[in-house]
Amino acid sequence: MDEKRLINEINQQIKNKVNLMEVCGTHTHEIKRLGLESVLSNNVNLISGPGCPVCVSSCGMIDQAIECLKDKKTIVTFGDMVKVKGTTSSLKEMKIKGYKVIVIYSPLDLFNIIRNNIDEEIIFLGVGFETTAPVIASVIKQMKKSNQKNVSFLLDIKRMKPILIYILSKNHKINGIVAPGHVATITGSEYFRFITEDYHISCAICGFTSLDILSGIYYLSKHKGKLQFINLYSRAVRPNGNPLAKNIINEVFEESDAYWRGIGSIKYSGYRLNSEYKDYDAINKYQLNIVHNEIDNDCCCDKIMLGLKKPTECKYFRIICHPNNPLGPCMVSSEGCCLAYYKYGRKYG
Amino acid sequence: MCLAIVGKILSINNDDAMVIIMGIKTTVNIILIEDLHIGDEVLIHAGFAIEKISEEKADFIKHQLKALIMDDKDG
Ligand code: SF4
Repeated sequence: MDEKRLINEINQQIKNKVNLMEVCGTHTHEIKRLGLESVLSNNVNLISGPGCPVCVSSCGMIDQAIECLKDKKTIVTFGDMVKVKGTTSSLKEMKIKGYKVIVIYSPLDLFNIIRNNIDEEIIFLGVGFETTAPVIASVIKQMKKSNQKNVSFLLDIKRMKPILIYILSKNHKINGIVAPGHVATITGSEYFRFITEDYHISCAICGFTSLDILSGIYYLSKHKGKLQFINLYSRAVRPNGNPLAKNIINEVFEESDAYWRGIGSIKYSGYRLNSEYKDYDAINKYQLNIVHNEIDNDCCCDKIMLGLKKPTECKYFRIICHPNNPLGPCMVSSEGCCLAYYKYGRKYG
Repeated sequence: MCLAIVGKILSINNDDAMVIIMGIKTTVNIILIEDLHIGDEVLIHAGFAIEKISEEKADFIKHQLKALIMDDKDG
């Protein structure tokens, strides 16, 4: 079975429009990069979802990180986060002004940073979904174990299930969901079964190769109208996920309300440090006050992340908003939907 | 952000393992995985191995697809 055959099979079998949401930003970028829409029938309508943690990061968190910089603290974070705007500025702009912002690939890099900056207060601004949560939790646990004093964590970690419930319990036109394989690697495939059981929408858990994604599309379009739930990424996803990763999440975090940029606060849709780890919580350590403001512009990233609009339907797309002048986080983040449409859109329409 | 890549375990040293990813050797943390052996393939995210790739299931998708499509033709 190869991609070409699968594409033919999809195009032959699909007679009516099917709306499929791929939740994960990595899926969106692969679909666009590979130009899958250009070879699939127009009846396959692929809608992007809220699975880019940078895009949904709270403005208030970035504002507070900026306040901490002004207070002579060092902010350490992932690459994409420095480009995203708070209400007035971004970490990148602050870095240009001379404030200390360090970009890392892995939270493990924090160990070297705190060792080399012993007299500084280091704050890690961390975002992510369930895939990244155990990685950050492992580092925090290790920090506590080795009694590190000059580090704390400003976290905006989100959970996938509450935002999907938010989307599926409102009016929507989704017929099937391509579920995020790497979130499922941690949570297990069963975590996503509620989509089919409670909301009566088919769901396929998919990996990230062209064959993986096409299989999901094939499966979901084949079964339109007939409810199905399948794990097509079983080489990496077990029914109950990774037990060690889930244990460490539960050991270090507790579920909490979280603020989704442009969308608002959603009950229990995030993780925060539990009371055992409160000394490592920057909000607690420095008595930070997170105010969830929104940027006042007409960017419709919120509608794009909820699958209600495509970037090409935004009046600013390409005209005013582009990677050199991004109005919203979806044009900033390497997993943002608007950036994917911008980068690969010309070729494939 | 949830990007993860596959690497093969070359050696193990307590909480760390040397892996090879597309010809490049690097160290990853392995505390999130039980029962890891040299030669195993793992999924790596932000410096951590987050899951073992199941060899026997690697071809599963191809088999499953074949079965699905055969099903369609027969049905
Ligand atoms: S194109 Fe720009 S302004 Fe429009 S939704 Fe995307 S990021 Fe926002």
